[in-house]
Amino acid sequence: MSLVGDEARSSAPRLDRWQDTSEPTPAAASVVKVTSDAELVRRLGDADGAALSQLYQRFGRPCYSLARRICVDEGLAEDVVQEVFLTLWRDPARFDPSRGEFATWLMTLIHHKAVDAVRKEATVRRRTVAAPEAGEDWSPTPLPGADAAAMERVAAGQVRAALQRLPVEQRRMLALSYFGGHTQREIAVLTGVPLGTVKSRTFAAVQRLRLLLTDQLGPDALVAEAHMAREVVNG
Amino acid sequence: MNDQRDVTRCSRRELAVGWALHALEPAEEALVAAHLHQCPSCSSVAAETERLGAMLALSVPQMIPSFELEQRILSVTSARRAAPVVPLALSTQPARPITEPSEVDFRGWLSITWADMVGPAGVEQALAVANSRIG
Repeated sequence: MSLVGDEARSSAPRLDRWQDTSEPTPAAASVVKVTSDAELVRRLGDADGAALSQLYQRFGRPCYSLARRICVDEGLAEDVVQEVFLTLWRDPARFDPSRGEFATWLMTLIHHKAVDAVRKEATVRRRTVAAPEAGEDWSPTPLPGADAAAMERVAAGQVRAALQRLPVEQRRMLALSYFGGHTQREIAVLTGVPLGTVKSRTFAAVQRLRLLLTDQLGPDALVAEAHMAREVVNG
Repeated sequence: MNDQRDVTRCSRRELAVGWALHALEPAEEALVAAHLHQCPSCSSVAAETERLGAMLALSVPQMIPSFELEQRILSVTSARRAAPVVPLALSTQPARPITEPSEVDFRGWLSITWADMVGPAGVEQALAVANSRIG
């Protein structure tokens, strides 16, 4: 299914700042020209393998981290990432830069494929166990290999904090669907909550989370941060 | 389908969120997808939800993928340009084939990277394994 995009995307926080730490830091950006994600994707159309390598350096780790979070199984997560990057390589025109950020497009695709994968291999994950983000005491500890510096560089902490400020029932619905990969109907069965309530709580969670993040980060905070990272400083 | 443009009134807005989270049943998902093409407000809700989803995605603890994953992904670039050179990563990772299961011409593409290495039977076997893992 194609991703929905429209003019409204342009007013939202930019996500191209959320990348692998192998990218130059803002300080390093002062001496290193950083090619935009969209430009790298454009180069894929010319079969530019170096562009694919750069995109993987930027996004490989967050893509894998999300896929691993959803799939649990390491091999399955890597299969998801591999499929998505090869899809990008073969058909870079699937990303339309006029419709939104590359990071949003890519992470949405990873999420979609990861959820599809776990639904096919339901036995490899804890489908009946609530995602940890759903709990009242969710305080994620970085797993081995986690890059705390990267998490500090971006607004991930604020996102997690905002999640914790959601009413627990709303957070639970959102976590079970997004991180757990469950359909809303499955969530209704798992939780014993009527399907209509699942839908309304999920909707409320999304709306409230958006407000919280806008309140915490400011409507242009991530835009400014992304521009800072991308800025090419002459001299 | 409801074609109201006011996001606060379109009765499908909750479904638009569910669609963006990939949390609907298949039949419902198809209906909502059709509705999104007709309803700018729900399309906007879906787009905003996808953007929020990407932020959630990037808030998870970061983990490092294997070096072999990078090798497998990047080996396809050399394969496309210099076929039939067999990438070393592929020759050492026969159980983890590079796949493109959803594309129209993926068999032709795969034949460049795999046929010389494992032969037609091997390609078919690899595809079967991959397609059983990822739909």
